[in-house]
Amino acid sequence: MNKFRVAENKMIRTDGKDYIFLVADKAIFEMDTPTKTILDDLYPKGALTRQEVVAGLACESKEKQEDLFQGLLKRRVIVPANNGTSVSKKAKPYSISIPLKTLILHLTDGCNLNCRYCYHAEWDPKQGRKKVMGLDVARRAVDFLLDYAGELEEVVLVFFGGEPLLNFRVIPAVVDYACQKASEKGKKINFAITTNGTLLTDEIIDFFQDKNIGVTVSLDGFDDVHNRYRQFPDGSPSYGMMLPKIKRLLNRSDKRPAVARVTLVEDPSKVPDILDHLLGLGFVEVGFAPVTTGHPDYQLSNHDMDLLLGEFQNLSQKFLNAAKERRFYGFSNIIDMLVSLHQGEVMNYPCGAGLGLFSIGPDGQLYLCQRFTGQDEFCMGDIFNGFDQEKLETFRDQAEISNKADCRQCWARTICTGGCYHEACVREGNHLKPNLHYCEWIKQWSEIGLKTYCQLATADSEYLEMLCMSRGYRSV
Amino acid sequence: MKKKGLKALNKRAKKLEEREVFGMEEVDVLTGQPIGCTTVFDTGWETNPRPTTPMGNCVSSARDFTSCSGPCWWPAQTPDNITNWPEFQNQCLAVERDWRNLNFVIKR
Repeated sequence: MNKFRVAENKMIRTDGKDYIFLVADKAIFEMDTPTKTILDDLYPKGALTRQEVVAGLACESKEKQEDLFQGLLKRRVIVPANNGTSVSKKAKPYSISIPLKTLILHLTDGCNLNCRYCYHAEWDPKQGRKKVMGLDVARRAVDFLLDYAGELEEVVLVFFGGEPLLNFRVIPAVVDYACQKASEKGKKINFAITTNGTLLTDEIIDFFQDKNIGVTVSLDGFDDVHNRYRQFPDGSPSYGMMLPKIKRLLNRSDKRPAVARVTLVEDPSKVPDILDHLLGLGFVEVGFAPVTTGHPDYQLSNHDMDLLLGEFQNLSQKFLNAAKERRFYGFSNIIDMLVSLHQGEVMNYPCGAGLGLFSIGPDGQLYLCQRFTGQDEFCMGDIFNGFDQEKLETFRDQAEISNKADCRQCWARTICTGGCYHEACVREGNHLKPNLHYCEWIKQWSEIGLKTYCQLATADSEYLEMLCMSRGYRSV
Repeated sequence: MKKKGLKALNKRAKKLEEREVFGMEEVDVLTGQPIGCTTVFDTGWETNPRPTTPMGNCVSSARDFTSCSGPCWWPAQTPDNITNWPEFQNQCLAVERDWRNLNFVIKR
């Protein structure tokens, strides 16, 4: 006899209304009180027969009970009890090749700064022997990207390092080459660069504007916070040198606004001030990430992480208040979360690394992502001979969420999917492990995200559509 | 069910709301019988060769595109996707957009 149960879910109550997040489907519904009462009553009872479920639905007539049952079944709020409790291993009847969407060019190992927390400094085995990518390798990388992009209409090329502006001379030539090759193939190519901002010149800024290159500036906030860790090799501070250049960049970046990425090392109570400072300078969005390091001196303590959560909650509320008035408050962390929840795409992997995204080392080797550049263990082939298919398939098999036993019972697994491979490698000792050190934190952050989402979706779902479009998703 | 009980908020929820429960798993779950608004026009039956439900049982050999589901109702029949053309829909990922790609099935 077929049995049914209420699907694994997370109930959300915010602003006096009830919502349900269906974990496996990543679907979000608003519920009225009778439905909530019914589900609260059925959930602890586990697997029930169809008759038992229908009998538990408080309705005026048998027809209405049947209607309600069908409706819950269709929306997968009620599911067959035997279809796997949490993560089901997907059968792979047909092998599907994943198109290449994003390539990150590691233009140089070198950097003119010597930030004390940098993961490159910790891991760089070839200290002193900095490699630089030549134009021939960069061009070959463009060919590789376009060859493996399959049917995709748009691809992305990212300039990264080290500090990529140390090797600026190849960028204009690569951009021209890429535009020409892309148009020959009927594709559109987008460019982005991540820089520390200290080497920007008027010519470079004009070039970025002219070629519509998206600029992300990596920085820490206002001067004292920034200068503490982001220093030149001689120990001198970098903020004063960077600021006028950043201002010129922001003044001129009207076509494609620049975003800031802040590495958090200490004192989360400064986060709101840093955000307002950077938005005030003219960045359209600012995202925060706790530093990834195995060095205990630079890690945020549990107490700091709790404080950070509180700050994120306040900033999310501020974002929500602005959104309700159709204003924009550029707090990237909540925007990313809201877009992910609105799209509702169920992911089996935490990110695109090793799927549609790879980084390329100065000699043309392919790595999982920019954070693993230069590490042989994570080398997945090279642009001259193609992917190491066996190694890549093994990675894809192993990295799937269904292999992360710790995640199986977690309601946030379809939001977090185990988290960043590099963070796991540094903190958990293996890139395939879930990031257990921040589990509780990510669950609470996901709950803040869900509450913010539910309120905004109820108040103004069009605003969410616009947010998704700003992230490159198409409507419908 | 009336919409007032549950209201879909995100895109995934809206997809679930739009779908009809005619998929294989639900056929088994709902009534044990194949159902659909054009059942009477189904041209015939064949035995399911796959190790999935309904095992060794009869399934419709020709059905409407996407089983008449949601907004993409299309009044024509498709090749059977159980035995002869299991992948015919691959060139038609979104039926509203890509239906022209389907062309004809010519059995050689």
